[in-house]
Amino acid sequence: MIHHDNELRFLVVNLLILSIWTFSYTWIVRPGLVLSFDIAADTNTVGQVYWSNGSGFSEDKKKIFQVSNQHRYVRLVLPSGIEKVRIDPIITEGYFSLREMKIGSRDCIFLPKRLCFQELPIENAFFIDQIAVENRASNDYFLSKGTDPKIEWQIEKKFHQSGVVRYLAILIFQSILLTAALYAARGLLTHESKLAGRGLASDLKHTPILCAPFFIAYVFSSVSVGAISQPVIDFLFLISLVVFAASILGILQRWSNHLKPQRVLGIFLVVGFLMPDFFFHLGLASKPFAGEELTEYHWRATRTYEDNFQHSPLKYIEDLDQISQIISSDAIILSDIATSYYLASTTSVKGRLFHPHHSVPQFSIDNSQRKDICRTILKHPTLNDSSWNFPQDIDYILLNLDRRNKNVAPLCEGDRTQQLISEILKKHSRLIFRSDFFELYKLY
Amino acid sequence: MVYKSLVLSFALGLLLVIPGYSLLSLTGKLKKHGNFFSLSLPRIILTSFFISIGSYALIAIVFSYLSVPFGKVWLIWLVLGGLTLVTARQDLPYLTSQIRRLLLSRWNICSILVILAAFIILSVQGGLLDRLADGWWHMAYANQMILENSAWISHHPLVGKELRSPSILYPPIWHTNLALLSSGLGIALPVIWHAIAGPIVVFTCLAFFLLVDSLTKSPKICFLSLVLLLFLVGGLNSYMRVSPWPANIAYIGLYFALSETFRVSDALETRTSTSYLRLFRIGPGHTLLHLVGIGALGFLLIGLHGVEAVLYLFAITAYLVGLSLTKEIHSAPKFQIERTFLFWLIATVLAFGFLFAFLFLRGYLAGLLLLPKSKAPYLNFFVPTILGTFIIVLAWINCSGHRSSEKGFWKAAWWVTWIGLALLLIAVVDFSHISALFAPEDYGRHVPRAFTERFGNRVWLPWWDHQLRGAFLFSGLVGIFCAIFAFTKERTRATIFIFANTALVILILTSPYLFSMSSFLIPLGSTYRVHMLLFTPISIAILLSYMLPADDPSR
Repeated sequence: MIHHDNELRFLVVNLLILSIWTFSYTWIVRPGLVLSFDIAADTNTVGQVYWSNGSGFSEDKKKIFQVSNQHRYVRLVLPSGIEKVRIDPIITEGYFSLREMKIGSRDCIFLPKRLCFQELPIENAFFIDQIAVENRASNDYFLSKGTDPKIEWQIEKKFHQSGVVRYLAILIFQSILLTAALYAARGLLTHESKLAGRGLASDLKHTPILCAPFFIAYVFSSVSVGAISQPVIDFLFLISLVVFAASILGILQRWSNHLKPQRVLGIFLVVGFLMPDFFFHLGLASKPFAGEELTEYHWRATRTYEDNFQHSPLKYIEDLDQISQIISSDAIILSDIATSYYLASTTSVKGRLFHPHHSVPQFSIDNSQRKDICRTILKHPTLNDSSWNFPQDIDYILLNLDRRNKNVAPLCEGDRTQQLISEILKKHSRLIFRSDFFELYKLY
Repeated sequence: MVYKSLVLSFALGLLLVIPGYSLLSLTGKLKKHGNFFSLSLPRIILTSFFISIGSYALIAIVFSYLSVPFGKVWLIWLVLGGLTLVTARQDLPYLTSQIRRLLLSRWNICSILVILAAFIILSVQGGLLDRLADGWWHMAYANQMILENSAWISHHPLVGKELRSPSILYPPIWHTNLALLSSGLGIALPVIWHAIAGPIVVFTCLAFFLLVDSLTKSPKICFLSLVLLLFLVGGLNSYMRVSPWPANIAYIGLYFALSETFRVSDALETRTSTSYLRLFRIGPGHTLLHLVGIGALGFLLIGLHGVEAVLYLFAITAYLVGLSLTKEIHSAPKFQIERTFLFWLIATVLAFGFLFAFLFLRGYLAGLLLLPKSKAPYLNFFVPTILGTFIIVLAWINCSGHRSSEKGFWKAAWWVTWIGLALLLIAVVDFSHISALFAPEDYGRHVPRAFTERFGNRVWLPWWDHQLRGAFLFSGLVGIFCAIFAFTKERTRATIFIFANTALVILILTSPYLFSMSSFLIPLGSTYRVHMLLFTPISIAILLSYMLPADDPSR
């Protein structure tokens, strides 16, 4: 038997939840677009981003970002309603690397990525000026031939009108919540008499069962990137959210009969404070809410096996094994910090360049010594000048060419410098091993 | 790749359990003490895990002396695996009965699902971090052991510098394990390091589950604590992807040692004898054997990462102080036995600790006394001593007041002493340091901030950075609130333990004298690790359990 009081309470509670959610969403997720890219240059300089909403580029519609010789992921928030965007990567002549350019709505939290993101590859650029593409396989290495290089893209129509994606996001999620509420109401309206004496434990009973398949499917699909497309992953996540939200709403509505206000307040306070941590682990927030937490130390639902592969030596294991076989077991190799650790952990070869807190006096070289070596190689390109200050016990130089592994910095700063060093070494020392990732030189 | 990763993680998990399991099973049969000394399934797994770790360390030492290649460890796997298969037939009914017992509670089923999910996620995401951290140093150390086929190394693992004599650069037990696993399987160390995160997280979850179970006896709180352990950002114990590090293996030992200590206390409580000598006799319950096991685990902790052995001592001491100063529960027989047991346990641990330090660390201790923190005006010694005196006096008043008929006098003495202690605590806490948690003006790393306080004493306090800020903001603060609330609501083992340890952590991390004093027992760069004793997931889980309807039968 349906009681009218229950119907009213159901309506009020759902309206309240929808209002709170909409208000929270609009407050937490500010409107706008996010332009992101990865950039590095031979020198420390700045770059600029201009945008246009139909009236052309102007100085009041620009943002400046720092560029250095270390790869950096730049993320700039731009206003909604943009038709064109322009990146001036550097303001000097010289080499730079630019990759992973994309623009997307800030509302791209629950929506399929294809709906709210636009990739900006260099091939699709609308206009390029003072920039030459270097002949590199990775196609992300450029030469600025002037002091005002620029790359311009047209933005897809869905981003032209302010807030279209945003309204869509709110609408979709409100529909989901309404569906969830209706699902939850079923229990309330049909089993009311049974529910009077039931607690949370019995209400929670179905939640894991309902959520588990979708959530496990979501986790599996997100870890096996490539095998399952992004929309499917998003769909699974949405479904698991629907079921979860439905269960929570059901619990709250059933439970409200015997909940004291202070308990509700306590739960909201505790859960409210802890939700950012849950969001972070579920991949809904890119970093923890507070503190200087190292995100790499935590598991995250959106992290994939691919990430391990890209940022670790897992992809080099065979190469490192081959290197250890072609050189003597007590050889000393000079390489960048990450590769030196990789070598020490997998082979009998020892390195010289490590983090300062692992340095061994008279054996390790520090950062300034490393820079000296790079300068020396550039100044003495024939490598046979006995006056140079090169550590005598180094037998080999190993260049790690991998630019996807963010732990690997070029041995000599700047991609162009690294390339020059590589050219010098090729001419005046013996290249004894080469692979997709490594060049190993034996010093005479 | 994902599938391979899961399979390797599972295999490594088995290799970390099977040797210990077979030895445990064999010992049980030889001694005719029945199956596994009546252990529950999580305890069988963890006991096997720690026996395996210890066995691998012993195997590495024996192989080093006999010059047997580490790679030959597969022969031992073969023997122990065969032994397990032989004993499995007899063990199976016991194991299945334990599984059935575990599945009786729906909350336990939820906990198992959570642990399974954690295993899958961590097996895939792995222990290789996306940043260059000290894990690579540990891998290089294990690799050097493989290269030299020895638990002691004669060359520096990174630069190859010749060391004076075969040396130990770091507590080596976990590295010997990694070296044997890598050599035996013929798999590169980074791959092992990556894949081993999955099983280690399972062991961490099981140990945490057992600790919560021994404190609360509530499957529901166990489940909530597990979920919170996995989801909260809360300092060192929340870093699941750092699981393959030696310290994280020691955290498992810390949780397990604490839970086993409470189990011994529970076993003592069930005995009717009033003679403590008779309480520890070998017989049903095997209390003495149990204590020997905890002692062995303590030695293992020292060989894994010694800080956690000190944290164990801190945790049970804080709990004993909490028990002694809690008025309402003083007369409860259960807590009387527990208090006496813990007192003697701490006294024994301290006696062994001093003996160990006197025999092996004399030079190190003498060096400590020459450091600036040991010099005049000696407040780093005086303040903890005065605090300790206050605590002893309060415990004595509590005890005497309970026995005496002059309740009024003892009540007055109690409050006066408490006020004195509170004033002292206010005086020794650095409030500007607390405010820096929310608005830090400067940042540092592991090495704490050194400064000279107003009396000219050289002291240290940790930077609110890195792990500590994450541990406190905001889950830690919520946890502190929950611990206080739960303690004021009811006095149980769980609430007293959590509250006492929370108070200890806050005091050590905010009082320069207590922090500097703690750095005599824990290396200065690691003293911040004391925040491990916040047990935030448990305190929040307890509070959440209070919010459930009172008629819920699972509470």
